[in-house]
Amino acid sequence: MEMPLHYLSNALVLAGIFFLFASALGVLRFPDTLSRLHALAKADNVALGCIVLGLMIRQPNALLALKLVLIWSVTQISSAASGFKLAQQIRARALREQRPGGESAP
Amino acid sequence: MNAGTLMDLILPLGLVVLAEIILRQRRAAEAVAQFMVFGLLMAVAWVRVDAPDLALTEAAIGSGVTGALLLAALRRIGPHREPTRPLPSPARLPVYTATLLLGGALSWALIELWSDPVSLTAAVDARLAESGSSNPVAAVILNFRAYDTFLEIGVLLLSALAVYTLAGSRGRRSLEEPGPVFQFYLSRLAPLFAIVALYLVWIGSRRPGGAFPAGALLSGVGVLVLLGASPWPLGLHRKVVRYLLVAGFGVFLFAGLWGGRYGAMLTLPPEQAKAWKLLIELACMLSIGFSFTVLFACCAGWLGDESGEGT
Amino acid sequence: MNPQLVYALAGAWICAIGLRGFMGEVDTFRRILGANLLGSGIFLVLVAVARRAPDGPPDPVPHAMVLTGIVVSVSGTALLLALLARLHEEHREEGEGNE
Repeated sequence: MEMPLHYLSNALVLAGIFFLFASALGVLRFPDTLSRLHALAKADNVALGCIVLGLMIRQPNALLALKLVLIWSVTQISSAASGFKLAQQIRARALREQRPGGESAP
Repeated sequence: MNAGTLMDLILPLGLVVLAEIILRQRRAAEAVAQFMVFGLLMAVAWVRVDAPDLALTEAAIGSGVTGALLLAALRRIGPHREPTRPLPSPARLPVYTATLLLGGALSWALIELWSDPVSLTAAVDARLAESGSSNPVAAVILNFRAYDTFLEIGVLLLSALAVYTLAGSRGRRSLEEPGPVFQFYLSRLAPLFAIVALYLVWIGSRRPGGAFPAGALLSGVGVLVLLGASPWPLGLHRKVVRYLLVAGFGVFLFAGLWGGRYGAMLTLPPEQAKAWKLLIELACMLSIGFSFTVLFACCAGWLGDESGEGT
Repeated sequence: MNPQLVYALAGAWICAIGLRGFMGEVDTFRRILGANLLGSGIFLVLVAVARRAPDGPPDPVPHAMVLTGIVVSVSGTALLLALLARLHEEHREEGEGNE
């Protein structure tokens, strides 16, 4: 009974690491700031989510498992807010410079 | 070699390389971004050397608030910055020699020191019971080295006063419209962080925590609130602002004088130590958090002495 | 070898790099960055030294020094930055006055 759960946990953490790596690659290689922001958000939600889920499976203490969820949800909200703030700045700058890229902001 | 050992090799090496990259970066804003990454990696390093309270302080102040201060100042300096030119070559040799000497001498000293582990742990533990807290770091901060902490709060107060005086009305800017998402975020998370800060002060006497990490956290919240365009930390009545800035120093001073009745200044009688320390820590937390908010507002040019009447 | 020694040595070389930034840069803003790196290096050395006994809890005295030191170093940085920004504004006004 224990073994399959451990495999699941390992698989989730590895998937999280993969997404983390992919989003780091995206931040480095994507051409403009908005798509980099998109890659960054992936690290915050999918990658951290997978890792937290994987660690929760291993955590016998329910309270500590809930704390992991708390970490993930606070990161979610912070990531959304900071992403919004950054995108807002990018859009404001694009509008100031009268470039057509301004409306690509979410 | 296990994963932890590998990380203990990669992380310090990465920190050194990143420090070098920061100084080689020719564009100042990017150097600041990298400096913030450096702060975060440093926070991870603190966790690796068993200092979670330092990690929290470093993540909130060392990376967050310093980064915000640097960026705010950079924006105010604007395009009129001095041109970045390399050091003239005759001056380079002594600088590089001094650098190599310092690095080499420090490394040598550390390697020598390592075989001889002298520690003050035993000395602290011996009198921990008298201090009113079971966390040895809190006991050192508020009992055994209270003079240091007292004067450090004084330095913070002086610096806040100096920056407040320097701000002037010239560079005054207005706050920016934050938008609904950011306001939602602030209204939900700022109270949460305030509760965490209070919890850190409360737990500080037993476990890692205390006024410094809590104040660091509060100052991060203060900066966020300012970025969220609600100027209430600065819109408080002038007198309230002053009291908040002085609170830590003032309460510490009062406690020190009070303790003077029992012996030397800044000694606390063991039976009252716990209550006094909680009071001092709360006041210091408020002062640290508020001072950094004011420092940031001044550096960003959001707060100035508009009436020109000085402090 | 104790793994904490690696952190201490890294701290030593961060100090050295920070000193180079502090002395070897012409731009004041970069000097401030260098001074901050120097401070971070010193903190890393102190905390690693606190941990050099192979077992037992870390030495609380360096921890307390670093904890308060971080706060003081940031307030110093803020003062330097405020001075720098004010200096630039004065220069700018002088420049505008000459035109």
